[in-house]
Amino acid sequence: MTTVVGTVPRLPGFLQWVAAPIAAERLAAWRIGVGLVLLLDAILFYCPMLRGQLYGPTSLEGPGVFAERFAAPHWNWSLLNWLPVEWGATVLVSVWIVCASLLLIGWRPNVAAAVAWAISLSFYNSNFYLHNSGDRLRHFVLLLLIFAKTDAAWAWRRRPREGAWPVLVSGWPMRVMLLQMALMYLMNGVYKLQGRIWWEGSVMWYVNHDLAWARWSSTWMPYWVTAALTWFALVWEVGFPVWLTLPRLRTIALLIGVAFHVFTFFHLEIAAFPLWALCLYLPLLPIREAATRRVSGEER
Amino acid sequence: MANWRARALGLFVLLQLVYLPLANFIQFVPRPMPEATGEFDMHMQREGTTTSIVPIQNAINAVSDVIDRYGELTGQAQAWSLFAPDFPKQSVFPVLEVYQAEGFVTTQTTYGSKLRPKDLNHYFRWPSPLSRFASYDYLHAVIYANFTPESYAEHPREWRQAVFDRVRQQQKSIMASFQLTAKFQREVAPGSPPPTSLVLSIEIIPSPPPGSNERPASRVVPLARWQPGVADDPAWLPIEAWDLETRQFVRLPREPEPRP
Repeated sequence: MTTVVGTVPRLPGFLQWVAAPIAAERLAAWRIGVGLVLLLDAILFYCPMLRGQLYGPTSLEGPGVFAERFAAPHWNWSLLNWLPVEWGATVLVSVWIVCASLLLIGWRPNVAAAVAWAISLSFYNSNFYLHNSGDRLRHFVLLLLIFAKTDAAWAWRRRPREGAWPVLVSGWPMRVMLLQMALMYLMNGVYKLQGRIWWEGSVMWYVNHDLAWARWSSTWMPYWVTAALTWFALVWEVGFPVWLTLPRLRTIALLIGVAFHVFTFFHLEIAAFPLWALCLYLPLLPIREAATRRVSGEER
Repeated sequence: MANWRARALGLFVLLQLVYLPLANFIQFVPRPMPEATGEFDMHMQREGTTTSIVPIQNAINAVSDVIDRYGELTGQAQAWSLFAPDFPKQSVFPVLEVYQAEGFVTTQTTYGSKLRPKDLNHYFRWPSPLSRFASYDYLHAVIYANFTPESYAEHPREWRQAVFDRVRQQQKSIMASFQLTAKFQREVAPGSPPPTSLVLSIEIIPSPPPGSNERPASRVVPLARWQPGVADDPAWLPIEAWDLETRQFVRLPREPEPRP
């Protein structure tokens, strides 16, 4: 009989469904995706200008530019505060790349995630201006990865090594991520509803014509297309939690989300935000769904 | 051992399930916020008081504090408002000018943003490390994102004060930007005299109105200046701010003047 591997969180009765098992491959896919995105984030968006420009002496970090973030009553912290300013950032980014590689191959992923999370937060807090909400998603997914069972499949060091297929793990990370995703879109939508420019339908016109935000010129795009996109984005975001509860619309809403983030990665100057948002979708991939349903049914 | 682990993990999951919705929805519940210190930071929290019943307001404040600290500790503060509620109708780019004096001759070197396209109507950029710089640049330039002659004519005092406040708040990051530029200047022109002053201006490029491809004329407005040769004065901040009224740079006192 197939059993659930890894720790299953003990939750109150009415929340048992949060921990319901899913195929181990789903969380493995998530781990691999996070490893890939972290590798890309570190190599593309940090490494080329890390030392001397983004971090270190006489850099945009100062040091000490953001010192007040670490003062009371705040609980922000950074490993860079305890490392020598001359080489601290270089060492941390190197370790970060190692951690990303370990997540990718699945070797001690919980430890790798813990270290990567600490480094991620350190870079964020020590030079706050370089970052955006996507980096907070990075912290979020890495934090969950510290506690998730992601090496039960597709891992260099698979644990357990043997077991009946399909291997199941507790699906709490997928459901917590779904909650974060729903709140992220809902709140975005709610704040958009407060802007007159959104009701008018002209936001996407201005975003597309903003030379700093948009990575390519959109002089060819008629106004009615941008207006339609504005209202479509508004409805999709505000209604996202509802779309998730409607089986017929759920997949469509998620596919729209994937398309939106892939497009914005290339179109908007928002660093790796879209890639981190896409990581939230990975455990939702329909991997071994039939087998999982069959096993769950047998167990019942 | 397994039982202990399951309980601890359950506690963490429960914490996340409570934190995520609460951290988002509590933004709509007004509460007093501590006075901002340090660099510019954005938060979504509605400021004020929710109720005149002190114990209830105190409870709201206490819960909010716990939420904030947990968000900071774990790095997952909730602030989701991409391009909302408003989006500026102008692009803004920082322009840094380095002034150097050699004898009676003053030279000026200008560094524009690498993100600014040469041809405003036809351009393309791949994702690149410049995205990180773009974020830093934008937070310096955003003060002028809604600055128009019409807006200034309507609210001259508010604009003047807003520039003073922002330069005061961003002293350290503007200084870091100036020092990085001076270092770059030394690298590209070794042996050149040290800068006498560095000026940060913002280029404002209006977007075309909906349905049109014609951009209104762009303009450059100064924001801040640093004169490295001038000795530090404990009474004044090192970075001067542009006075929109007198059209010159003015020193800002270290201790902000009380508001009327």
